[in-house]
Amino acid sequence: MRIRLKGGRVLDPAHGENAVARDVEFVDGRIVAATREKADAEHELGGAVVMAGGIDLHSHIAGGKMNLARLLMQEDRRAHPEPALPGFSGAACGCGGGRAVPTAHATGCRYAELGYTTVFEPAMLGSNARSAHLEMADIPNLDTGAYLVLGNDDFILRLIKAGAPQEEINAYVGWMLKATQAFAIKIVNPGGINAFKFNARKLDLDEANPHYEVTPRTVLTTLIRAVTELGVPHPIHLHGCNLGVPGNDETTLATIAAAEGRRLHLTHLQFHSYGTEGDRRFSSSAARIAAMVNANPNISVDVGQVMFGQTVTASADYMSQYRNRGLASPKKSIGMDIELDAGCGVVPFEYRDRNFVNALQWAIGLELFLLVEDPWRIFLTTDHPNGGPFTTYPHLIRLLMDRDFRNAQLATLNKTAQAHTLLAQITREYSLEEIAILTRAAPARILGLKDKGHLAPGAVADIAVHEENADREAMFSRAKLVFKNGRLIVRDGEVIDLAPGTTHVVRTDFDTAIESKLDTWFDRAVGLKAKHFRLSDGELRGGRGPTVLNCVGGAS
Amino acid sequence: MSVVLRLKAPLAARLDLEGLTPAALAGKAPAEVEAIALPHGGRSVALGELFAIRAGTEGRLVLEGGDARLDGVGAGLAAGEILVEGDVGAHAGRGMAGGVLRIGGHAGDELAAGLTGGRIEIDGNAGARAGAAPSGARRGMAGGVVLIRGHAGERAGERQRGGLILIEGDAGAEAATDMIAGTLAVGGRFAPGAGRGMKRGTLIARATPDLAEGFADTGTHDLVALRLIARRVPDLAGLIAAAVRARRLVGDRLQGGLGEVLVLEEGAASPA
Amino acid sequence: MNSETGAGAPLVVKDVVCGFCGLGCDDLEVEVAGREVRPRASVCPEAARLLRRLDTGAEAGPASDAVYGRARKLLEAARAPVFAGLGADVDGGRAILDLAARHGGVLDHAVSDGLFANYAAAQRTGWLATTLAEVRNHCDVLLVVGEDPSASFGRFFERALPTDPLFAASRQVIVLGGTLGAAARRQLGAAGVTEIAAEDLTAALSALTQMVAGPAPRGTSFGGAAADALEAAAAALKAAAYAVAVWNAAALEDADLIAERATRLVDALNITTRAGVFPLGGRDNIIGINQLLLWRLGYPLRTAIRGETSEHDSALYATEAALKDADLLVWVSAFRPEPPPAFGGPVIVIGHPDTQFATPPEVFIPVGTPGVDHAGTVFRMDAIVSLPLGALRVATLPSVAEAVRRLEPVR
Repeated sequence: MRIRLKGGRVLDPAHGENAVARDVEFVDGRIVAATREKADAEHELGGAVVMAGGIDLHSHIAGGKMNLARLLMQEDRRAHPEPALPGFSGAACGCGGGRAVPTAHATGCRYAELGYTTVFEPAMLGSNARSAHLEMADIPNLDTGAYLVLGNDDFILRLIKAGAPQEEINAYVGWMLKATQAFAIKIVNPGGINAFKFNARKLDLDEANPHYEVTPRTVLTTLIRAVTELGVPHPIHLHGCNLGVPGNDETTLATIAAAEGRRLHLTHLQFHSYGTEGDRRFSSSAARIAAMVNANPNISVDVGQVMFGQTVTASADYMSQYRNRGLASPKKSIGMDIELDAGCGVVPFEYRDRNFVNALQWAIGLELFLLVEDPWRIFLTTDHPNGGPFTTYPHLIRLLMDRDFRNAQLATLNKTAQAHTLLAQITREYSLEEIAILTRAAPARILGLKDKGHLAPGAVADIAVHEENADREAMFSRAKLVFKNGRLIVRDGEVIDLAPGTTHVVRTDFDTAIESKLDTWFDRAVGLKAKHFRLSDGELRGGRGPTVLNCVGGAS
Repeated sequence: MSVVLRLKAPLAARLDLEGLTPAALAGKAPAEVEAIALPHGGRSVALGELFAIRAGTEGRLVLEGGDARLDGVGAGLAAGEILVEGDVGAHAGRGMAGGVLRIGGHAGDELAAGLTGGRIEIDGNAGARAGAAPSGARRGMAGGVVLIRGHAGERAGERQRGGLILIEGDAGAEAATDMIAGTLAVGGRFAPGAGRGMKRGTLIARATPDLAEGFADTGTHDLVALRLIARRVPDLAGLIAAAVRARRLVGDRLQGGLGEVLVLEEGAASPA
Repeated sequence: MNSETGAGAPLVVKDVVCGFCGLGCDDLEVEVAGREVRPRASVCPEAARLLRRLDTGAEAGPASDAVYGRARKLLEAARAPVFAGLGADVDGGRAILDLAARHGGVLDHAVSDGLFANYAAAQRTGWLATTLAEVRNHCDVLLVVGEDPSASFGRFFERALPTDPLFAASRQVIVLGGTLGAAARRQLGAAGVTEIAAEDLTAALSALTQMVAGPAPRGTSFGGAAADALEAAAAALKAAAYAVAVWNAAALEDADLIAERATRLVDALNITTRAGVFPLGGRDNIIGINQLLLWRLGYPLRTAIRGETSEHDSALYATEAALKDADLLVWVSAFRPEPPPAFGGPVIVIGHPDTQFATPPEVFIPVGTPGVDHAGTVFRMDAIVSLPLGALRVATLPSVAEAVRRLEPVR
């Protein structure tokens, strides 16, 4: 099946194409060089913008904590029922709804309408991996993948405490990546979630875990080394210490320094950029942190922008979420210690524009977006749903691209917060090309997805077409056309078809001698057999299995 | 349009009328009203299939006849009036914020669940959990008035946190369980287990209820407050009218609660 | 049927995963001889009973095309079907959900009373919970509210409180309103056990919670439990490094109030030390089906699909209530021969082949048992861990998913 998109303007930053008028052609789900052959279908685009499908490298879309969030957010679910989709070709599909925590089906459909075709779940617990993969199998229209949370598990803390050689750590990480069918390694509050189980209420970068006496710095550097040596393309994806705590700016700066030049991704940086200046002892450190990010090319970040309104926060960071549970709105929350593995905390939250702290969080996020200079090292996220649902992305894009709009919004916020941000003085406006970098080209590059995020021959035909519109929020709210693997799934902003996605995983070489140790550990400590913890390929995507990226290790 | 709806036949499956309020019908042509989709059993049907429709008084929705499977009557009502001549099913007046809902027959479970304002009057009996928290919600009714002329089922006022529930008949088992605030007054008798887990709030009774463990008797008092309540809350005047004194019990002390149970004692009424 | 009818020597299978009670044991040893499955080791009485194959209904073989046709006709005619029982693996659940999405109707599981009693706390206020591996290694004081969990979860203490924890310095079990049987005591080994008698469990637990949260209520007994015994229990819980509260909501009166109070107890403990609730339940993969509904529909069990939209209500869409308004019952029970509840209208049973019916249903489609005849996924009671069930023998009956997919309209 050959499909041709004619008369579009191609935005492909990976190949330096900035609004180049050319046809885009694809055959059976892959982009090919343009031909004069007769196409099975042609779409006349009339100058619309053609980009690769969007890639979200950090959005909580699957796993046990999302179901706990759904359980708590029934009012949100009732307020957002199943949409009527007159153009949809399928029968009633039992697709669910919801805004803050949409159902699997609604997640796939709402993302597709925005032009996204690949999304990564950034916090999968090993013990919950089977559940997360079952859920991802039910997400249509998106390719997915998941980052495995490590660094709070008792197995690795025991290894580190015992002074195990790095090779053994690496073997464990390699085994876990394979066993849980994961794509990268995430660290959440390194060692802190574990420390909370021993009743520590905070754990700073150089503070020792009360039981293992291991510091977050050691956990971080050990795992940075592991993924580097195993050749995992995505660097350690770090949710650092002291999330949300005023004064965590110092921790964040120290964490960047701790990487010592090795690649490290700091996620939802906004929540880690708080100073303690001013009467309220809460201030923006975005400028300091952005300067440090600019000066350290080994560092990449995503923002975790706060968007006003009702949402729910869901994190493996039970230590932090327990601290925040008093702020819950509506007033209910769930916390859980999980399986000698990690934990989770789910706290509904409403960001209010008249609230000083919330308004300043909003400004801090935007400051980071505008002060970090290299668009290839910063990614557009709201840490869905923690800073706000992903459906707010078009609004966020407009805030980045339209200074007048941004300043008009700022003027409506809490007055004290306005006085505490330098946002009004920042003149930068993102270009369309930069948005394409943040949302497609750069995520593909940092994830090591060579056939995604661009429109050159050989790329997967995941394509988003947006009608040009000076109102960037309107432009990005409803894609004109979206193709998933070459199949047309969205027309004029509405889902018209469902395409099955795949799940990306990485595989590394590792020393299988670790397996007998793991068998003993699982038998005695966990109370579950290692072989039952492990997922087979056939358990992914309804038996279709994963899309495997084989890592080439050996680097150090 | 303002409409009178007459059920054409007894319902074979549950029908959910949530959101069908005078405000939602205002400005709609008869054909539009007929086409409103309503969840019915496992399907969705057009309103016109089940009801005969004619124009009525502005700001008022009238349901001629009723049915115990007619759920969600008046749910979401914020203004105006809904009148039902017969029975209704579950969730009548759920989440209602204002306006008036009058039911001539009986109501099913969770009448007035999550009510925040407005007034509900029902001539017959109410099912379980009148004025309680809707499914999954943290708190029960927070404001408004619910007048039940018949009896109420179990756990009336469960997690109630405001407003007034007046039951002229009897209250079922475990009334006011985990009550947070507000008033539950019962003209008839309380079934056993009332008041368990009460934090605050007031139960008004004519005879000492069979309370859950955890209430302390503070004796009989001449409560000026009673007369004030009777004057301020006309709905309670009838119940309180003759009472000048009340026995006061406080609980649930097993949980550090400070709810009060006022058992009215009749005497020479002082001039109101 | 006996082992001689099987081909070759009996086959010993180790590390069998069990999906019956929700505790998630995965170390069972069984012997498979022909069609027979015999327990050998690490099998609790309930699992032994349910693993045993009678295959009474299976002798008739799989349901015929005509039977499926009859079922399709009943489904097409139904205005208000109820899909209940739902004893199925996750894939079976997916197929049932697709079928319900097509026809509309109420979805509920056979043992959801306990789940929704717990949701009175988990959903309304939230709670602080823990999972099996944490209990195994951290828990030094376990509060059991109500009767001995071993009655429904045969290997509970062996699994939850093994004798060689990584962290717990000691083990103490406090049983409020119940006593531990011999099996429980044996599994507990050297752990200390305190039993506190109570008549009104809710009142006793309320008082215990208040003693932990303070100020303590005044009195000599609460709910029939002696105040000094409760005071001692409160002191032990507060002194614990990691206290855990367990209860089996399915076996308790006013279980919603027990769950709510246990939640508050654990909340109060966490202010100074660590603690978690560990609610017991999870029979016949109810947790897996509930998880599936949450990610597919955004609502838990007891949800009705009504045309294009769905709505959840924990009372209205409970099986018993929903059947009063239903015109068809589709009963699914693959894990055990559980007959459907009494119902006046037509009944389709997709069930265990040994099911005995008081009244024969309009349609009976016998299916294989997950973990015996078919592989599949089931969730453990904590809703975090799920397990791969394997097949122990060649299936002669379809799985729930296979049977249900055949009920979709013929194209």
